[in-house]
Amino acid sequence: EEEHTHKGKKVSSNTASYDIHVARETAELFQSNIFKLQIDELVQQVQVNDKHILKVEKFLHRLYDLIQQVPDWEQHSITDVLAYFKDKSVAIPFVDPKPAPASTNYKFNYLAPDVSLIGSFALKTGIYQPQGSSIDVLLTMPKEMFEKKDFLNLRCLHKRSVYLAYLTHHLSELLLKEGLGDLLAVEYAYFHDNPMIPILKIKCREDAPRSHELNFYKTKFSINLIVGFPYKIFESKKLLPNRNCIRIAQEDPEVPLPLTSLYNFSVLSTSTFEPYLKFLYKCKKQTESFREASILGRLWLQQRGFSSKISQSGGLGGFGNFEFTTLMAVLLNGGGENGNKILLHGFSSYQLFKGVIKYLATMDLCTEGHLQFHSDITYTSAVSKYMPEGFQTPTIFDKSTKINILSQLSVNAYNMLKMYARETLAMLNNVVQDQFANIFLTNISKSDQLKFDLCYDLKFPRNGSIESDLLSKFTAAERIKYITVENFIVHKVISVLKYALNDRISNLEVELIGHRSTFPITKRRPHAATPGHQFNFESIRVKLLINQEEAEKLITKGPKHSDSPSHEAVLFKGFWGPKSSLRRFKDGSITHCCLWTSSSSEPVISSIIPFAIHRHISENLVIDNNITKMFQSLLPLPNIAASSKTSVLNLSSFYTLKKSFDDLYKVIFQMKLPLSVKSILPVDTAFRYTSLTQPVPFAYSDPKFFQNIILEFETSQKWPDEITSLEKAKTAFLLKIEEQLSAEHGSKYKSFFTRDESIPYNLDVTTLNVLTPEGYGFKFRILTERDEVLYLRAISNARNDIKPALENTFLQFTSNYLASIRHTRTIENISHSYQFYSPVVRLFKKWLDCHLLMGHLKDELVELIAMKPFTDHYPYSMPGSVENGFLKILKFLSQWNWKDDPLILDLVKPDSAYEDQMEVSIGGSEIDSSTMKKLSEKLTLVQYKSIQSNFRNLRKNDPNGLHLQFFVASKNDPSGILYSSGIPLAIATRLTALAKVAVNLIQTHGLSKQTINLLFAPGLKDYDFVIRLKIPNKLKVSSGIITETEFKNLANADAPTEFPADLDRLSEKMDPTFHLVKYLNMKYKNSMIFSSHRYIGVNGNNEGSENVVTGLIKPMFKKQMKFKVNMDCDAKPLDAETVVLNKESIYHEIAAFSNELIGKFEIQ
Amino acid sequence: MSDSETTSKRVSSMKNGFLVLPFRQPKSKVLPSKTASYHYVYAKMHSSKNEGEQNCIFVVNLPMLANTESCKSAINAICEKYDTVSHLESLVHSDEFGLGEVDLSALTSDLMTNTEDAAEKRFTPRNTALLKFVDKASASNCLSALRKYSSASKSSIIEWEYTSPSIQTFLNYYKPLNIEYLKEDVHTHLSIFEQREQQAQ
Repeated sequence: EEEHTHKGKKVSSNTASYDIHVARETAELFQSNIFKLQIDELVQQVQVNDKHILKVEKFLHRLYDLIQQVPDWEQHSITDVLAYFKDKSVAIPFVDPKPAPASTNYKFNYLAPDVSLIGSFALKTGIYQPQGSSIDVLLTMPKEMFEKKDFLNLRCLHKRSVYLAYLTHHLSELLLKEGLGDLLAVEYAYFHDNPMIPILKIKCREDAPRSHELNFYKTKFSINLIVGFPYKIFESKKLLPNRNCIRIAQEDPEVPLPLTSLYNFSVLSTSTFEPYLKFLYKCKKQTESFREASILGRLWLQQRGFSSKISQSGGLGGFGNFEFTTLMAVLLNGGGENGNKILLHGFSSYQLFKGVIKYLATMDLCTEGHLQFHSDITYTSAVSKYMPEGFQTPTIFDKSTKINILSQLSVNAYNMLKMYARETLAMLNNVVQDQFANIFLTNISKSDQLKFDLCYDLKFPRNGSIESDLLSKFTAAERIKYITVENFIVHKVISVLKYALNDRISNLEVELIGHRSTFPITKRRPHAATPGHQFNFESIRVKLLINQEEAEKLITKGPKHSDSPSHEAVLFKGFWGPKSSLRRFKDGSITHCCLWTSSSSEPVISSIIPFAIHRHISENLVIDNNITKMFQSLLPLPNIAASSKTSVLNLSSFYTLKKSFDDLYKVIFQMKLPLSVKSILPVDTAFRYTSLTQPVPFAYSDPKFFQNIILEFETSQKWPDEITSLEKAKTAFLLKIEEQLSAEHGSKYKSFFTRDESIPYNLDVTTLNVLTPEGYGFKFRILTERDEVLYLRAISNARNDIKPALENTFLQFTSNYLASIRHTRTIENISHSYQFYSPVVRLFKKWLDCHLLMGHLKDELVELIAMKPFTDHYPYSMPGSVENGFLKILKFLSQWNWKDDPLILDLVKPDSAYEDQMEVSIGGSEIDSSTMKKLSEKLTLVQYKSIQSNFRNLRKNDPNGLHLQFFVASKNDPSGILYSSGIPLAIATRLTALAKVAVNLIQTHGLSKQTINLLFAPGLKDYDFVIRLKIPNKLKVSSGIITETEFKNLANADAPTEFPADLDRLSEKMDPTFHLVKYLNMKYKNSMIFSSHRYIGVNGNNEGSENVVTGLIKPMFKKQMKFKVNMDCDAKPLDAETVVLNKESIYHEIAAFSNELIGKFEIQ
Repeated sequence: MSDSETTSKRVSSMKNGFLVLPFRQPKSKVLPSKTASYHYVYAKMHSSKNEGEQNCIFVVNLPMLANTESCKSAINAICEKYDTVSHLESLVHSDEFGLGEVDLSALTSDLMTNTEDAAEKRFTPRNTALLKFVDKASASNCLSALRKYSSASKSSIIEWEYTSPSIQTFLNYYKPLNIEYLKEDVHTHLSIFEQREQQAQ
């Protein structure tokens, strides 16, 4: 494929697109074959156990017999009915409002139902669910029980409620009589959470006698007894979604009554279970892979939190297995704009699944069009068709039954569904990486924090004031539209937030916490779990996916101002009230606006939500989002003016440093030197926005204050052909630069030389450190074309036993001098598209340093790992908040089996447009040159495969990853080892272990102040010993960090505002512990690992004057060993041959070495 | 921390001939100090054809930051105990922090070092060194004193005096290099290099 791509580029674009097309088809065929194997395995795994089916079927037969024994009941008035149930323990699950005896003149009765199996159990498309699944049994009420007009005013619903209560009462008695009382538990439930469809749920008790022949507890099945209406009992036209079927008194008879689409659907849909079963059954018969594809659909939906549950009462619902399979059946029968078939009966399950996903992703069924079909299987000539007319609600309309099968799918849930479909389509189109697990195996709805960017809890005070306030807004007209107050509230919250947040968010979900859909048969309806709440929930959780580009903007722009206020302007002013004002923009236009302020600790959205919710829902609602605040506050706050009012996405502190560098760059570029300067390239963290602390002028205590710069001259043959002399020659050049700098720019720039230890065994590297008038520091080193040659020569000249050490030296050189250039350029370039990358990676670095790991890991490695949730975000969305990105990194690390899996990153910008274009190309149309370019930037299959083979080769020699754990590759480094070699095994496993502990902690205890604090509390107990160090200077403020609460002036007094005149004095505010730990690690390299905080200003104490050093004895040195000359450890003799590590002696040495700094020595 | 000298059986020499030399460690303000702890140095006469390595004792596991001076004073103290005299010239091949394990310069050029030297470049394992004495007598005097010392009673064990780096020592690593010195160093080195290059041509 690779060859095709490149050839294509050179020739005309026509040929190119053809080649690409062929290449993609080949790759896709390959992909679909792999998929096929994976699907087979998966389907096998989720197979329902046949024995379980037999077991539960046995019970179903018995249940059938029992239902037949329920006696008929003649017609009764409502008064009689209520009297009948008065002394019974069973309540009638009436829908609100319950029938009033005075105005209810129709009768209630019970006649034996027609019993049948429906749903996926009947269709045999069910799968094994660890949490158990339900079997739907339909009890159809006989026709004789209804009158023509019973569809009006909840009459049929009330008849059904009485019917269900009567059945429940007799069934309970029969169960007791038959000795099944101990075996079974019965409760009311709402079918698909819809309060208009109460059902009876039968489960096997956990404590039921095991020996009982009917005990089906182990099968984890539960049985739903659903009471349905006979098919076509009511005139379906009258129950169309745009009709009103609940009449209420209106003050103004001219005003049309509100539509009751949800009610209409609830009535009609419970009369059509059987026709749909037949429709799907027929389709399943005709399509070999139907069953398999429906299993795929079920899994896909489940992992994303979708089900057939009604979504009007919050959560993601309205699209479950029934809707998925129906859509698939519809598309097998047409679905295109001309009724052309979208799916063919001969398709594989992969193709069927992909076809449905693609349809969901690309066809609009809400605003621009809808899909219509005929479920009547006798009406064979009818085809399904996409109609270009949208109803502003997702619609798949069945002309046979007059039902919109998406009636329970809210616009909001539909948008989420469409987003997931789009993302899945992109995954399915990814021919390079295997996305199977991301599509089907990862449950992304397990954790709100990972699935969403921001979560807000709206809490109700216990006094009930909000409840009555909301109930007063829930008018009769609202009631017939939304049926329950819960649905009404969900709708209201969503509309308020959508208007208020507009394009700041891409999607949202509102969930009612504590919402119940089952209740005891002694109760009429469910109540919230805790008392004191009138509603069927305790609090409301708002979950947002944000739009990175817009989320932090400070102005909410409304309509333009005009003399006669437009409808939009009135709406805008009404919505925002006092917050709304008029502003004149640069282009002269005057517009209605709201102005917000940004903050370092909270997103702008956190100010908007309370305002809108208090104004439009209820003033007393408590809005809680401390989690985001806590995470954002963990980022070190730079000691710069107004930093607490600066958004986490603001990169201006980095830009100021870059500007300072640009000025210096110009100065050096213009210098007259024996060789002219070819390039001056920054290679350090601040240039790619990833430094743990933001750049702050004169904050030279920060370990990253001096930013590395690589300087290259034009090619020359004169560089010495020996490494020490080469370094001396480089120093000579730097001396020349220093000379000119101090001669010509001495008033502005100061500079000095230091030794550099970044390349092991090269003791002659010097760097020129330049201090700029703006207060920044840059460290220049020279790269020549000779360096690489010499390092390679050293390897080939060396004895075998020191070759690995020299290879490491070469690796360090490559990563510091060569790859760092590419790395910086790439990260800087793409991070603009991943807005949250900078704060997320900085928080991750803080976490690592907090746990004493940062000293062992290269910045570049950390940055690449942190990039994973951004460039390779599937199946989740791209992180849109600090906590979301950070938690995703931890999640990834906790699951990364680095022994078997490489991390291969595609370091490119996100481009949804690119995927769209690709989509078209599958259809055969041409690809333009810009798509070609984008395509070439992504990793190709060949590149990907070659990286994989690099990994396999590496693991051949190191199968358990004892020498190298983290294989992290990208186009910049296909070797995968550039930044991760040399990490001690203990440190790598500790990183994994810490991530596991963190993820586990959050999973079990959730996010709270305590758990977040724990996440950032170093666990010192796991080390062999701990040394507490105290330094005489306070380095926090001079590292450029303040705390929000600190008195600003006081903090500033400590902060340097200039460099000392005597540069020797710079060292006074540097961290002595760094060198201490460095030498300890050098001395005891063979037997121990020392760790400490690298950023004493961030993770020291409140003042930045303390550090901690931990020591870990390598396992090999924890036991006795033979005395050998080259054992390289401090050992004491046990007998004439054996020795053991002399810990006491080492502790004394360390104590003597750290003499002036040591505060406490703790031995575990 | 247990007193290793009393609890375990005293070992005075290892099977392969190394003498075991205990040194008591000074009391530390931060470590539990109920009992004394000891550091062990292992020593053996060094035999080598190399001319520069005559009259040497090979030592393993010298205490932290040991240098010629601290070794001299320990040896003098021991010799004094056993009425002998020994003159230590220097401590050689000591590379406590492993800085000189690899000579990049030698490996990248054959101009800077003598080829024969490079081929025979000695290899000292980490955590070992040579005590070089002024003459043969000094070396053997010392060794015999060490032999006695290795099996001497607990009370005659001498204390090792550590030289502790100060905070300033660590801070000095951040200090600018002296620019005049740097210039001189670069100049000297490059002129030698040029000379050698010319000679080679």
